[in-house]
Amino acid sequence: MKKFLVPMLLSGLLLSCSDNDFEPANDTESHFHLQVDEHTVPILVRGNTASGKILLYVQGGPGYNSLDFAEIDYPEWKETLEKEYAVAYYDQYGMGNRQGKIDLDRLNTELMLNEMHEVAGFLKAKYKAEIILLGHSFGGVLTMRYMMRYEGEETVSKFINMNGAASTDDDTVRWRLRRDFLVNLASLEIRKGRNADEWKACKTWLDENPKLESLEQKWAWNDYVNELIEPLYDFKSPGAGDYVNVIFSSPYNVPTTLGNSKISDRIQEALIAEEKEFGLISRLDEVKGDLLILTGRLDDICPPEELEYMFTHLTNARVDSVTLPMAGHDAYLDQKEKYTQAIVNFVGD
Amino acid sequence: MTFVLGGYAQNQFSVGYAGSYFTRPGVHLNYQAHLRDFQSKKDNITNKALLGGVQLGLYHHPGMQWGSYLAPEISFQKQNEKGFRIGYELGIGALFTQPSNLYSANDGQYEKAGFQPDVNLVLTPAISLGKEIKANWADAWYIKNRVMLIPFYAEQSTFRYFFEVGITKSISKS
Repeated sequence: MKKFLVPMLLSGLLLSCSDNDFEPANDTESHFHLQVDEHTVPILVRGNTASGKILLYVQGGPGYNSLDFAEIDYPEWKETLEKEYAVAYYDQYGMGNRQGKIDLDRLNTELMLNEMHEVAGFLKAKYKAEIILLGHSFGGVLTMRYMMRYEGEETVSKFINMNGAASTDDDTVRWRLRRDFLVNLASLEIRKGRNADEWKACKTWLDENPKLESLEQKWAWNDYVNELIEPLYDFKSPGAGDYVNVIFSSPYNVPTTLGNSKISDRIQEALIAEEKEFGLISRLDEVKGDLLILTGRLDDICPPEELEYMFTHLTNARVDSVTLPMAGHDAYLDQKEKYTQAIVNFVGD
Repeated sequence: MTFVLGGYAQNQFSVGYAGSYFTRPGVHLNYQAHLRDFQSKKDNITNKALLGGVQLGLYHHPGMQWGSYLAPEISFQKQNEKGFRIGYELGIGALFTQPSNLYSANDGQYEKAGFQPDVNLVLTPAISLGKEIKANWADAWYIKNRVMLIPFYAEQSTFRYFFEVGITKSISKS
């Protein structure tokens, strides 16, 4: 039987080598795997590699997948960002299309940063392109952590943190800024006369609660956000066609991912605990490099008030700051044109 | 499938298309040796058989991996008077997967990695339906639904589904 097996495996291997193409093009779509230690990282590069710039997307969550996110074009970048630049998506350690030896007990921020660094190095070397990190939400936090960890290295030239809050739930400053966020929006909406009665009630509650410290206060803040702010922008859910696409025509490993929720929980638990201990919000002056921080005016996870705080405290980085109007946590969806323009302004030609 | 009405059985060889989730193409080869017949008490004909064999397959999941598997199996087959067949199989073996387009770093250079498959234990239960045909090139056609259970895969259990369609040819009489 070995007589059959070896030729079959070898023929498979040979065929798998046939789709290697790093030639620049304005409509690239290439899948690769990169061996990092004992696991392999699946990577999709899509868009305009002829631009000489690759935005390496760093997914948030923590614990969310990237390849399915790309496959269904959730961020709708195929017609916007990917026309300007190439975007590289990869599934982080333990997530999505993982292959190889995965040991979640080993998972920590250092491992995630090393993986990002390896992927960035691979893309830079193979495409001879400039690499820009594009982190969303917790991916934005990882992007800033990368700037600290690999300060002085030339693998990545620029960094974008979109909708990524530097604070954690344990930070007092987070709740001060989140309260300010609600105060400012309440004032704005009362002036506009939109849901004025509800906003006035919210304003009264805020006046009665000058500090948000208890869990009850934080839940109440959350209720006001859900009730008054989230209806102001659309929430996008993948459709049935997206699921069919992912199941039958993508490199996505569906059954593996269906059982991902427990793994995702473990990843979140591990990384967020580590982030709380690290205290990024009080170490922003250690972040160095060219950084764009971007959020939506209505983003309750990374409110503009926190973005402003970050802008003020990122004293050793060259920072651009952009707040998109009428946009939530997925600001790239709510304000596609303004978002793309902000990225183009920062990344350049 | 090894099964013939009338009291004698045969060793057989099957070959078929076996697509993972239909669309990820692959081939499946199957050799089955006849082990034992079972006689129907009702009409005094032999219409059930126990077979043992080995299955070998290769599939390509574009953008993700090449997979090949080798699994000894045991199956139970039944056939009616019209030549329709149903079979139940269970195999246990190994799945070898090689990530597509794999690169690794070597002294700061990123090179195409050699063949370094992950190896996983798999269980492969399957149900098949088929029918006898009278042709020189085949004794029967079949379709098969196979689930490949992978109990230990990257910190969890998972599975792959294969839809298989193929032909069976007798290669010897027992």
